[in-house]
Amino acid sequence: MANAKEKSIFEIPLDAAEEARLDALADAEIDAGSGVDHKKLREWLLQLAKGRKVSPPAA
Amino acid sequence: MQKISLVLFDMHDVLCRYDRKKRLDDLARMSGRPADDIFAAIWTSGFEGEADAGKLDADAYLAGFGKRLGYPITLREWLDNRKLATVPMPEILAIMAAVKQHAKVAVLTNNHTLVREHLDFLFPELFALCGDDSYVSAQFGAAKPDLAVYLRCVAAAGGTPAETLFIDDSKANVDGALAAGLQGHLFTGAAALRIALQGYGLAD
Repeated sequence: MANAKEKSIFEIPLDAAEEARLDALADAEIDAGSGVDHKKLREWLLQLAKGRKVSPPAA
Repeated sequence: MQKISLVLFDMHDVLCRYDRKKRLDDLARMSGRPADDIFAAIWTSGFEGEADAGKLDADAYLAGFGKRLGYPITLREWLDNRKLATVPMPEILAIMAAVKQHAKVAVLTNNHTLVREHLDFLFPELFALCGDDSYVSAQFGAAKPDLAVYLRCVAAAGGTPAETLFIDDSKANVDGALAAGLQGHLFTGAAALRIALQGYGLAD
C-alpha cells in the first residue's frame, strides 16, 4: 500500500533567487527573439510522433 | 523483456515545468492580495487536494478558487493565469512523441477537471500527443499515490497494469504504481528516461 507522504510541488519552498535567475534568462531569450511559439512546437511533436526525423523548430 | 503497450506519463516536472511564482504574482496583481496570502488560502488549505481527488466539479472549483482569492475570477482569467505556469519541456515531449511509434501514450496528473476540460488550451503540445488519453486524478475520484487512480486510469486507457509503464518524478507516486501492478520509472531527467525506455524496447 503506497501512502507515503511526499512534499508536492506546492509545498516545496521557492528558491526566490533561482526563480529570478531563470526568469531573467527566459526573458532575455524571448527578448532576443529566441522564443518558440506553441504552434510550432506542437507541429514538430506531431511530426516526431509520425516517425519523421525533423529538427526542432527555430524561433 | 517485459512487453509495454501503454506508457503513462506524469505531467508536472516531467512534461512541463510549473512556474508557481509567475502564477502567484499574476494572481496578486489581479486580486490586490499578497502572493503569500493567496498561496496559503488556496494551496496549503487543502482546497487543491480536494479538487484533485474529484470532490469538486469544475464550477465548484472555480467558485471556490475565486472565494479564496478574494476576487471573482472568471474562467478566462483563470485559464490565462493557469497557462502562465505551464512551461513545456520540449526534450521530454519529443521522447514521448517518439514512444508513440512503439506504444500508446497517455498522461495522468493530479489535477481537477477544469484542467482536463481545457488542456488543449493550457498545454496544446501535450494534448496533441495524448488527446482523449489525457487524464486527471479527479476523473477517478482519487489522487496519486492511491492505488485506485492507477487501476482506473489504465482501464480507461484500454491497457493492463502489467503492460503499463508509469513515469513520474515523485518516488511515492512511482511506488504507488508499482504496488498497483504497473511497471515504474522514477523520472530524474531525459538521459535516464531514454535508457529506461530502451530497456523496454520503446526507444531507439
